Amino acid sequence: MDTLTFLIDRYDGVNSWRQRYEFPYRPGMTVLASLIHIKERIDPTLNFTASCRSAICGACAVRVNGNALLACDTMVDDLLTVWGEGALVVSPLGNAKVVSDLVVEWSEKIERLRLARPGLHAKPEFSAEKGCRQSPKDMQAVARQWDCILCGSCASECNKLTDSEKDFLEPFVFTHAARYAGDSRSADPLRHVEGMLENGLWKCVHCMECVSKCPKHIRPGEDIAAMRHMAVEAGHTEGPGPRHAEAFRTDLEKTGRLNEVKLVPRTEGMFSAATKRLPFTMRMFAKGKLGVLEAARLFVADNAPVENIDGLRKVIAPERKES
Amino acid sequence: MESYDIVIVGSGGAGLRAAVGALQTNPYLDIMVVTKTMPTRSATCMAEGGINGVLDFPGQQDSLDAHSFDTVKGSDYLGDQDAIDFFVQKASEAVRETDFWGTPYSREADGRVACRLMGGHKHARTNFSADKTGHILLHSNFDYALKNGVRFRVNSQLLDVAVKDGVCRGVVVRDTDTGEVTAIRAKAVVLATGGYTRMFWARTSTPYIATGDGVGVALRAGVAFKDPEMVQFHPTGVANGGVLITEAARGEGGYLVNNAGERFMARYAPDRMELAPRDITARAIETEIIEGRGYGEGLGAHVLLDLRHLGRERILERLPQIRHVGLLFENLDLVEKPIPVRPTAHYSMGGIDVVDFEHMKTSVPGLFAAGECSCVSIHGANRLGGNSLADAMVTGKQAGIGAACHVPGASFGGDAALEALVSRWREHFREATSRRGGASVPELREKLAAVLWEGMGIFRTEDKLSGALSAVTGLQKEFETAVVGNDNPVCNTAYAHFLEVGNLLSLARCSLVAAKARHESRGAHTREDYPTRDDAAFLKHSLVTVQDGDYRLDYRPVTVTRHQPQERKY
Repeated sequence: MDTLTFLIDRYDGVNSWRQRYEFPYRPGMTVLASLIHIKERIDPTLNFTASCRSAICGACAVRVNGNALLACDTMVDDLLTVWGEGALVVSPLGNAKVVSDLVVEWSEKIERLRLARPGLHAKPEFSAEKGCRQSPKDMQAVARQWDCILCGSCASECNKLTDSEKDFLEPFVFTHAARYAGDSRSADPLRHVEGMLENGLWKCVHCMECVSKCPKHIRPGEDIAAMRHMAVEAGHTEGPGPRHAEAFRTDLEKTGRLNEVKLVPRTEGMFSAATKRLPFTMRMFAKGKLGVLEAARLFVADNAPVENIDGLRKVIAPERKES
Repeated sequence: MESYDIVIVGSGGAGLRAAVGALQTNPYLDIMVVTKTMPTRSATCMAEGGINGVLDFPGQQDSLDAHSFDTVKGSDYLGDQDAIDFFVQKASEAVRETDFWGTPYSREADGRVACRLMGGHKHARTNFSADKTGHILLHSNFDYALKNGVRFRVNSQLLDVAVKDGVCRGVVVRDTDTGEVTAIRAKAVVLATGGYTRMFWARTSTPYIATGDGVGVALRAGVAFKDPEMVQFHPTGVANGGVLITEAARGEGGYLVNNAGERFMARYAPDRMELAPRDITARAIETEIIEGRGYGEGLGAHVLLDLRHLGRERILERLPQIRHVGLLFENLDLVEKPIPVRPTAHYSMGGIDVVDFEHMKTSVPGLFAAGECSCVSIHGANRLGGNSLADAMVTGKQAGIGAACHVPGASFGGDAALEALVSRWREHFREATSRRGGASVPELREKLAAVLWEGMGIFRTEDKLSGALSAVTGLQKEFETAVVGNDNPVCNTAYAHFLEVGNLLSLARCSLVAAKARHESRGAHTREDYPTRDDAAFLKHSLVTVQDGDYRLDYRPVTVTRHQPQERKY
């Protein structure tokens, strides 16, 4: 193959269009090298951001065929292996306001970072004059979260943010909170968890797009889960989120099977379930998705326990004991 | 008109630390950090090895005096000794302070901050967080700035500093997103815009944005560019493009080998071997290449850095980032294979002339400088590994304090000067973006890089420097008619880059003027025609100023207190 084709989503502040660029293929070239080639040899009006070209500054995240990646850290060859030898579509990160072409807005995202209440509140035995002490193991416990380079990839395909960003935050904000909440030097780990509790900690839909897109192998979805755990342990058990989690666990312990009919009233309360969810339930009956008799049975009784329920209970028991 | 008590330009380690330093001095100050990118994209994040600072743990042999002496000796005696004594004390404080704020340092088993030995140091005093200390320190400073309520004006490129009646009155910036040119009044301005090594565009370890903007702007405001000829070449850039392989790779025990499989450093620095200072190691590698003991040819020539004997586990634990760089740029796993390396332009020892190191003042009242864009000088003719992050933290904090202390006695003013600059820059955009048929900016930039690598690289001569000087003067001429290729005011990154290259050209010319006149070899400045250091004639800082297109060179003596210059051997 001699020629590469990029289709780039352009925006000049007024108009949007998709532009086709063809340029010579070189083995081992990165997406960033390709973008630089286009800007410097073909079209100086193309806009994108880049700085370190070694996957540590976070400036060059874009989407290729709908998936966020770091342009400097991605070989075109690898993309061709995945997508075949057709044109690659390069577009700006999702769930971000586009300034121009592949450049996205960061000011508002910086403001949302403040909600994680970043910065350590160190324990009273430590001081600015003497510093802190920490075991290597405790430092390692937050090392992964500190790898975050604020590239925005985790937010790009986040299904919850796409649905609505009014009651949720970019996954990296949760990771920022988690790195202080999990730091053994902290006098007040909950301070960061509580900041997240007010901003959608229980709204994550577990799609794991953040985990699969992070170029630094951070797992924001797991940071969210860990902070939910911390929140419940600290007594923040009110609200549909904790009740939903508790309903799941109760079902698993009792029968090993989820009772989806009871899940809704247990999560939301009977009144809300009856008023908000009933029309949906009726439609499910009408379409044959749910049998009336089956639903009635599950509403009064539980599922029969699965085979080897004792084994399952043994697996869950330590989890219950820890909390 | 937009007005603040303090405007800090730049959001790397030094800029962020300056903002916090100012607010800690006076939390009621109205401060704005103006930055041409999102705050965490700066060169600080690329620093790998660590931050120097002697921590007072009982039973150790190290001391502040020892750190101070190693820095003086490392600078090849061009560092100011009073400033260095102050610096090492504050560096030690900076490590403990950042630890307290949340910087996650790697740890010894007993909970102390872990440190490693770096080149040119007699003791292990480079405190680190794996091999990504700069990234970690930058982000913990960013977090701490957020915690302190620091505000950011992102995507704002610095165009000029306004000086009226000899006093700094504010800055003029261009919002890259909208194209709007704005004057910002300020009682104090801190420039923390980073180094200028991007003048060596094709072979440098630094990010694309390290274009010396603040130094260029300070020059236009009449402030001198100190020791511009002192550019550090890091010995180990990846052969393909110059991205850095941290000195920590050698600190952890890596070998440099030539095409005969020989650890050639035995011939150049038998005691320190691979951990000789950067200038000596860089010259050793180039000498091996020139004398035919390297691999490859021309720009692809290199020697090898071998880490295999460290073992997979140690590499994964201590050097994960450089393993990644090896995979990315050379498509090779350094757990299994040695990696091709060659020196790469890495750090600007020179910078904006600072006349008071305690408050990082320049000669213009109200104008301060910090970090790599500034020159006290702490690093003299050669910076030691681990001293740059320490510099960013220390000079950043001191500049913040300096600016905060300056504010109460200062008032706003110079509106006419600010507005005149705004008009001039608006007209400049119109004129520059309407040009047709001149040279392209990337073309000029590549030419500049080639001229400098050949003419002002690791080995310099009168002939090479003269040739480079006339070539750069010619490129400046070409730049006057160069085309931008985009006239849209919205997010015109081509025009932003055009301005950066304009600054680089004038900074390169300053460097050549000073390098040509320095008839000696000292630190990173190696003259084949003047192979020895000449303390009688050149124990002094170069100071280049520009007026009406005229480049003028002056000198100022180095401050020597306790350590008389002696031969520098390792």
